[in-house]
Amino acid sequence: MHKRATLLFATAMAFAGSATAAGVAPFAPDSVSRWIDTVVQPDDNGLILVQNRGRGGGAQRPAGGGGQRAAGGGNRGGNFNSNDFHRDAANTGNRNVNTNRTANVNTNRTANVNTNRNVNVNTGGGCCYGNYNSGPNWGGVAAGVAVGAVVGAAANSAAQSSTYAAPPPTYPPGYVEPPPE
Amino acid sequence: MRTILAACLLAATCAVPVLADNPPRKGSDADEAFMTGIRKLGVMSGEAYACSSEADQPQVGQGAIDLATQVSLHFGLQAAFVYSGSFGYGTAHDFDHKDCSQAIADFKALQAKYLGR
Repeated sequence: MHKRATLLFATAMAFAGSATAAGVAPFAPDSVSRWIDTVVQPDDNGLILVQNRGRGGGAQRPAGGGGQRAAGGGNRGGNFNSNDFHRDAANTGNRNVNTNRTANVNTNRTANVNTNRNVNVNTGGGCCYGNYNSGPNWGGVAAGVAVGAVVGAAANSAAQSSTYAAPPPTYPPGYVEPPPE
Repeated sequence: MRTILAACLLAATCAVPVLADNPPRKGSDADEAFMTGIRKLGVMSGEAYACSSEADQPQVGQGAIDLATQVSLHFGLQAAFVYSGSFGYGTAHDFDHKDCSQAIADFKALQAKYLGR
C-alpha cells in the first residue's frame, strides 16, 4: 500500500508539472505511457490519467488548440500556416523604405538650377506583400481618442459626435442576424 | 524500494524536459516586426477593400474577417485587434489609388496562401 501511494504521488507530480508548463513537448513518451498502463491496474481508483490534457492549453495556441479549432470552424481557415504567416508578416514589418528627396536650387547671375533627387529604397527581409502604410501608432490612436472626448464633451453627447466616420457596412449583407422581436 | 526509485525516475523524466522546453514565443505583442507587419497587412487589406467594386467588397470583407479569425486563433486577440483596426484604417485613409491593382493582387495572394481560396 505504501509503495502504491508513493507511486501515485510521484506520477501525479510528474503529470501536474507537464500540464502547467508552456512547452510543446509531448505529455509523456509512449514508452512511459505503456509502462504506466502495465503498472496501474484498470480497477485502481487512485489514479486518473489526464494524458493529452496539455494540448488545449492557452500556451499552445499556435500549434494545438488554434489549428484544431480553425479546422473545425466551417473550414474557413483553409491551410493557414502560422509559421509562414509569422515569417511573412515579420518580413513585411521589416521592410523599410527611405525616400530622400533633395532639391538644391542655386541661383546666380547665370541662372544655374541644379536639381538632385535621390530615392533610396531599402528592402529588408525579402518582403512578400509590398510596402504599405502601417497605420496609426498607439500614440496617434490615443490622440484621436482625446480629441474625440473633447468634441463629445462639447456636444454633451459622445454618441452624437461627428468626429468619427461611420464604419463600413457589414458584409455580406445580412451577415449578422437581427435579434428576435 | 525499487518501486520508489522507479517512480522518482519517472517524475524526473517527465518533468525536466518540459521545464527546459520554454522557447521564446513568437507572434506576441513583444515581437515588434511581426506586429508592424500585421498592421501593414491590415492596411493592405483595407485598401484592397476600398479599391474593390461594390460587388466584390463583401468577398474582400469576408476574407478580412476570416484572416482576423485565424490571426486571433494563432497569435491571440491583441494581434487580431491590431489587424482589424488597421483594416478599418486602410478602408478610410487617403492613399494613392493608382496602387489599387497592387493592393488587390497582394490581398488575393494573401487569401490564396492562408485561406486556400
